[in-house]
Amino acid sequence: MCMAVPGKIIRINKDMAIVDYGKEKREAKLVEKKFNVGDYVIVQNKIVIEKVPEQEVREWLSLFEK
Amino acid sequence: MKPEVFFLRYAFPCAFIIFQRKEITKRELTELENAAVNNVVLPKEKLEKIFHRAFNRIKPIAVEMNKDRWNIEVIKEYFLNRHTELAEQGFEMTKKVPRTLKELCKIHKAVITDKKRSLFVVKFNKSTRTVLNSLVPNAKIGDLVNIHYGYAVEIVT
Repeated sequence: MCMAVPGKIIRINKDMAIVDYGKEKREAKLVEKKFNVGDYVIVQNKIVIEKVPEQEVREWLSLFEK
Repeated sequence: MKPEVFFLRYAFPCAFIIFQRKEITKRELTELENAAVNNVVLPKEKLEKIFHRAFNRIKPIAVEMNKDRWNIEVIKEYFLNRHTELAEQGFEMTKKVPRTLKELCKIHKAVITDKKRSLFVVKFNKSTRTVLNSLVPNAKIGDLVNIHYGYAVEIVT
């Protein structure tokens, strides 16, 4: 499943991150050095593409709620 | 380039949002990606149905330009000139649109600073982003590309 909502990086192993979405955890590739454990991020095609400020996370989730 | 191909290249990166809204299946998302990467001409009706929000915004631009909505100049005007401002306004979403989502939805002109296999790191304004290179596999470090969400879409000058 692709995720258009932020997940939280809970572990980094070399260039791979484990991203936690609450109900599930997914692996995604890291290319840039700017990402750290604890960051909320957007993943597209199993690549971590962008950081999301923590205060925005609730807005993201509410946007896609029915 | 045919307008259907140009449209899909620019629109496809947002299909992840349409998938998140459960309006298309994972299979349809993969089909759209394959069509975008391989310059496949999909039926106009299909594109208008999947990307109906985009066409609701394109139609008045076509009227204003006195051209058909599938005229390439109309499609270019939408993605290259109007899209960023509409994204800044949050499109037609009624809920507050997070700043990062607005930035991902905008089409930015960015310079490629690094290349790793199928990925580029690009720089624009004061930000960097990792994007896929599948739509512009021949782009090189130093090239200027338009980016949309997690994709480099087109080499620009």
